[in-house]
Amino acid sequence: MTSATLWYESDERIFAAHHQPAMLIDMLRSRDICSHKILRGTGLFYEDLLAGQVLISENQGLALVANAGKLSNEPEISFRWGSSWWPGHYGAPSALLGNAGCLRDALDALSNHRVQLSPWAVPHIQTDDRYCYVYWLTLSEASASPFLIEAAMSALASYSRWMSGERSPWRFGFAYSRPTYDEQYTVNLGDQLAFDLGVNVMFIERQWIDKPWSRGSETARQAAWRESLLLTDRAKVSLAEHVYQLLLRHVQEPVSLPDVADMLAMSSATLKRKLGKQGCRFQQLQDQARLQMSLYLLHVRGWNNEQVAAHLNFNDSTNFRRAFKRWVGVTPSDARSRVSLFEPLIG
Amino acid sequence: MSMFTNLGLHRQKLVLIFGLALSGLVGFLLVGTPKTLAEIDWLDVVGEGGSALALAVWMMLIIGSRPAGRVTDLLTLGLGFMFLAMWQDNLDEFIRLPGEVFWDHWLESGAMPIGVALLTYGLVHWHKEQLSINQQLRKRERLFREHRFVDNLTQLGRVGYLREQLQAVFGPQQQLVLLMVDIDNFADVNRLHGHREGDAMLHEISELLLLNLRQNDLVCRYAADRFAVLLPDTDSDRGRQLGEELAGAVKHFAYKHKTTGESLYQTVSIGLASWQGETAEQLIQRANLALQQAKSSNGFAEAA
Repeated sequence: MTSATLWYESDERIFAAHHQPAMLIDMLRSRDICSHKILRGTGLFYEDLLAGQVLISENQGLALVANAGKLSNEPEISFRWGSSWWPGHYGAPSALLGNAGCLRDALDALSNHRVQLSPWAVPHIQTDDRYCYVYWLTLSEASASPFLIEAAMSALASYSRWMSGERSPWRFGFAYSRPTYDEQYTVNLGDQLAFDLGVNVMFIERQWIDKPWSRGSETARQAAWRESLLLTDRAKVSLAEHVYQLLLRHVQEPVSLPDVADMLAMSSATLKRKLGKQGCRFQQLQDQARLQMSLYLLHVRGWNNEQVAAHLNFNDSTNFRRAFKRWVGVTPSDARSRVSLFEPLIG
Repeated sequence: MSMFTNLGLHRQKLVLIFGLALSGLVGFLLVGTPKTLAEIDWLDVVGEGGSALALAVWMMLIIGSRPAGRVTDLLTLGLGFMFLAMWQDNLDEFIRLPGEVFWDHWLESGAMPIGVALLTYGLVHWHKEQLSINQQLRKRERLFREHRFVDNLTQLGRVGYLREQLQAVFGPQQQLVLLMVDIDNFADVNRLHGHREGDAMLHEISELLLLNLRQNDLVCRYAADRFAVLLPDTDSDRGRQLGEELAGAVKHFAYKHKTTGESLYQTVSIGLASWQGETAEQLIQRANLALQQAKSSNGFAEAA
């Protein structure tokens, strides 16, 4: 299950620079921001990107996104950039997206070909009996930037609107506070928004994921699917993402850094160093996984503090309340009463 | 960057000013004798030298920020001569001239009044120029200007500007209408033709909206392809009529694709809200809600 080829490291050059990075640079340049400022500190040169052959690493891409966030003089750039991601022109994965028959097809393609389709924003897709959720993971500080989250959320919202021919009723929750330019959120995403939620998540009622899309073509999708099976980086994830998924799967058990290092067949020191290179810490990943689970149990399943505390292996509910407040800034009960994004459970 | 491209347009003036400054320095060095360190009054050096430097910087800023023309010439020369006077004044802090030299006095005392006269004359003309620009800009920016409020793409005000203007016109007897104008399926333009084409179209549609409004109305870019139109002294019937005129103008506007020349047509949906004594934010929200209804009905809706 954990062969070393399954995940990549943050300095491996595996992402095509002439796709999303080039689009971002082009967009900023059309607004009079010069390319050397955008590329500062990334170790990349504009001429190389134009040549269309350069591969860049996760860290370089995130540095580029961070620069873009700082330089963009208008809050709309992230939304515009994201809307241009998909289907895109990334070979078989794009063909899968462009011919998807419904949202479920698209989300499958997205999780199997994350490396090509969404190199920097990492989605975690989950479906239960009520909703389908797409979490945008914050594995490091760089991946938590509102610029990237805005781009990723508008990418999926805009793409599903394009494919279905109607505005899909996505709802959006953000880890960060309501920005001053919230009109961009309303116009680009809609008015089902919640801020200070603790995680970045967009979700839609379950019935929408199998609703047929007008633009889909099953024949073309099948062909693209056969082609996509040959791609070597299919289902590849970053190390931090891999660890995060492990932690989420074992969220009910007290898993430590050495435990995870064992599962990955490496020493604790090596795991720590590799995670550090990606800008993240083990403890932060674990907190994030427990937070994601507790928010789900509180908001969607309607559990009380005692139930969540017991499920997540806290000593008692007081401990859980304290931890939750440290993660989100408010107590679980305040959080529940403040967020009206989720319909109350019936019965 | 544009500052340096502008410099070429002003070469003659710059050569004149800095040539005179340089000649002054050479003249001082030829006929004068340097003062000893103890003789130099450093307070004067800092005061006069600093002023000379500031005047030179102002001159360069004028050149860098204004289009070439008569007003710019006058302002540049005015500041240039004032710089020259301060420069000359500063030189004699370092070098003593023999008593019989007259040109130093002429340069020092003559340049200042000439500079002040030119600058004053230039400012009067700048004032007139600005008044006529203000007239043209009226529908984009009512009454005042604040560059952080201006959207780079369309040169219209942003949301912050709209909020401020709403606050400013709210008054006891004021009848006021806010329209939210949203281009239908604009995302498809970006998808099918690219974001540069989308940008160009937004820019042209914003010009079109401006052309179809009255002198005291205000158009702002709300976000993405949504525009907010503030109609002061207007009741909802008149607001509706103006909104229909805007919708008609956009519908008949044949945007030309920048590379293929193909005609692209757009439609808009409009939400209308009349002010009912609420805050700017509430009014904007009601107009946005009306717009949502408009999207799902026939393209026009009025807030309850």
